[in-house]
Amino acid sequence: MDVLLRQFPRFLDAIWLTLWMFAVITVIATLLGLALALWAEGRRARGLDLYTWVFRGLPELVVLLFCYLALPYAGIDLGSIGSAILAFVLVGTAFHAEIFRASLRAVDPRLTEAARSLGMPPGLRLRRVVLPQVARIALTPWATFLAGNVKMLSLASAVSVGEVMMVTRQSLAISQDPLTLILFAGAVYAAIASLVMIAETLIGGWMTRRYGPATGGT
Amino acid sequence: MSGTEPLLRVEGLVKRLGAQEVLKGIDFVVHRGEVVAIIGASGSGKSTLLRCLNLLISPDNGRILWKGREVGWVERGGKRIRATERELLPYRTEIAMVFQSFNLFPHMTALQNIIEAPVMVLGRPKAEVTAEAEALLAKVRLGHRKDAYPHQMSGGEQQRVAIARALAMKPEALLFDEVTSALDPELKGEVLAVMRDLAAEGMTTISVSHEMGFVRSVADRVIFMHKGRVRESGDPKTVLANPQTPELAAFVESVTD
Amino acid sequence: MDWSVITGNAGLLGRAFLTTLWVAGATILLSVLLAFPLAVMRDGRIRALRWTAAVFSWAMRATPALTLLFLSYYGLPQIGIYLDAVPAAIAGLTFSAAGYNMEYIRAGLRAVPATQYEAARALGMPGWMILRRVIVPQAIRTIMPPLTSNLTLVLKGSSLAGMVAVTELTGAGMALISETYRPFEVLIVIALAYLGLNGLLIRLQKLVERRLGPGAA
Ligand SMILES: Nc1ncnc2c1ncn2[C@@H]1O[C@H](COP(=O)(O)OP(=O)(O)OP(=O)(O)O)[C@@H](O)[C@H]1O
Ligand SMILES: [Mg+2]
Repeated sequence: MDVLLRQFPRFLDAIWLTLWMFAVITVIATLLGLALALWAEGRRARGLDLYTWVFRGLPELVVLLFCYLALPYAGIDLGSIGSAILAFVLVGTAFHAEIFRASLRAVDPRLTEAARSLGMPPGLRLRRVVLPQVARIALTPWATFLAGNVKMLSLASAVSVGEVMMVTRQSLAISQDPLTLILFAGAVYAAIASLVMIAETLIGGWMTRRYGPATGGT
Repeated sequence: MSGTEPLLRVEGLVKRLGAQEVLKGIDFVVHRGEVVAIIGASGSGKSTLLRCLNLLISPDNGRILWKGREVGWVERGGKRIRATERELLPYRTEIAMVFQSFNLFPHMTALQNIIEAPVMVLGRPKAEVTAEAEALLAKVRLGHRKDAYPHQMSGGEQQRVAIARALAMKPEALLFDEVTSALDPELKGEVLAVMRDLAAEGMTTISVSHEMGFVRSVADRVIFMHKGRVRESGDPKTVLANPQTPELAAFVESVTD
Repeated sequence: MDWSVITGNAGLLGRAFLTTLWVAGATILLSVLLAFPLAVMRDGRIRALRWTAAVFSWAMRATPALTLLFLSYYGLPQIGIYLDAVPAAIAGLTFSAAGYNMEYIRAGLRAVPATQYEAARALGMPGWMILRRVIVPQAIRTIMPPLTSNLTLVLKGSSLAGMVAVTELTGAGMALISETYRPFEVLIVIALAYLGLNGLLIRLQKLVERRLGPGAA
């Protein structure tokens, strides 16, 4: 307990680092995943299939080690935080791309047809009609993935990113009370994951009240 | 009406879907202000025909002439090639379509659904379009529902918003594909009333409909389709009273209630 | 590229591969064995057990697997339980996987119509017999597909054992890299091993879905 108290300022920094890494990774991976899903619509699905198969199939730790240990040999040295962000973006993009691909397919084709009959060009259709439906359909799987992904950030400690798990591991060395430290670290991740799920429930509920049940169409 | 070019002329229209030839050579003309009704058994190709007219799907053969000019094909480098989606957009804004399943955008209110295309596609000023949209909503008797989302409206209300949405583009013709068949009987009337108003105003409409009362009393001309062909056409009162083919006789029999 | 790192350490990598299989296999088996009674408790009649199971499920799913691993490796000795690295890793991973497996099993049990319980009770069957003879055989159809798709997650999760000094694939890889400074060769071989195993699991998953899924005879 005393170690936890003494290390508390470091833990606060670590929580902050964990949060902003999570935010950066989420934003980049979501946008890339969406872009990939749109790009792969139709004939280019194969390329995306290969990408998602590789990055959903590899352990996150292996991707992380690759970015941190191997890339510097190819002249790309991103440092520990940079490699961790790159690794989680690579993995996250694969999962997000699959989520958005499924959501795009679930949009009611009759809405697209109605938009075409109104003379809306493809870009406008995507922006004003299709993506708003995708946002609704993808919300739950997207949030579920993110809640699981928060926990994965603890792996960044393997490449000495000073996030919560890293500070925990360092504190373990000087502590008589590892249980408390580990439980505290677990609680931090659990809290962030729970916040994501609560936000999802609130946003989903608000959307249903405003726009009706998410069926992809009327 | 001879001498003037018809608004729409369809010649030898053929459309294949999968292995099946759904339209096997359709010919007809529609003049300005005419109310044309298309009837026929399920699967006879009525929806396919309407979707071809709007070029939501492109015909495999035949020609569609709109105000005397062929649509769906362009001349490029001396060759006749299919128009791209982008090249079709101006045409689609002139011939609007209303669907059986309403297809309102669920994330927009009634008013937003109506002003979306005039503002975003035609680039017209929002204030002006909004004023027109409110007038249109009043016209379909939904002035009080402008801020409702589709899921908060009945089917009949949604369909009337969809008609207002089509009218907001100021189209020169309207295509109606069985716009009342997804509605409960007591809601059909309010939509049919709007369609009657439009006919009375001189709007050109082509409607697929199973409402024989509407066809008889409102349509200037009826087209009976059977297995991808036009079997009979003409003044509804005459055609429906004296079927010349056994298919139409059977059809009239089946829909008369 | 210098593949002698791989050929020269083939024995080490081979053993590490087997350790990965062993850790992942044991985790799968134990987590299902642990999850099953918990799933039954979760919807059972005794309130205290229902709550215990619910809290367990939430805690296991909300906590990083790495935390659970550290808990069993660094934390358990504090309360007098000393485990070797491999059993400690298996214990941590098992708890993590059990949280998810519990939910799949529970969903499967719930999907069996209530009338089946009633019919079995009307025949005078005791509770455990109803489960074993009537409910589980029907629920297995709904339980197996998500359970098998979870296998790929367990396989990926086994890599975490490398962080508590287990020389499974990833752990062995980390050791080799720090010894030889040849991260490319080592990581490529390890990645291929994981992808190969993953491919096999997806095969298995498809097979299970075809055998048991909706539309299967
Ligand atoms: N995408 C498609 N691919 C293959 N066949 C199709 C497709 N769409 C429609 N068809 C077939 O084309 C035929 C005509 O369909 P269409 O929808 O035009 O009929 P319809 O006259 O509108 O019938 P209904 O009164 O039921 O709406 C049907 O036999 C249908 O099965
Ligand atoms: Mg139809």
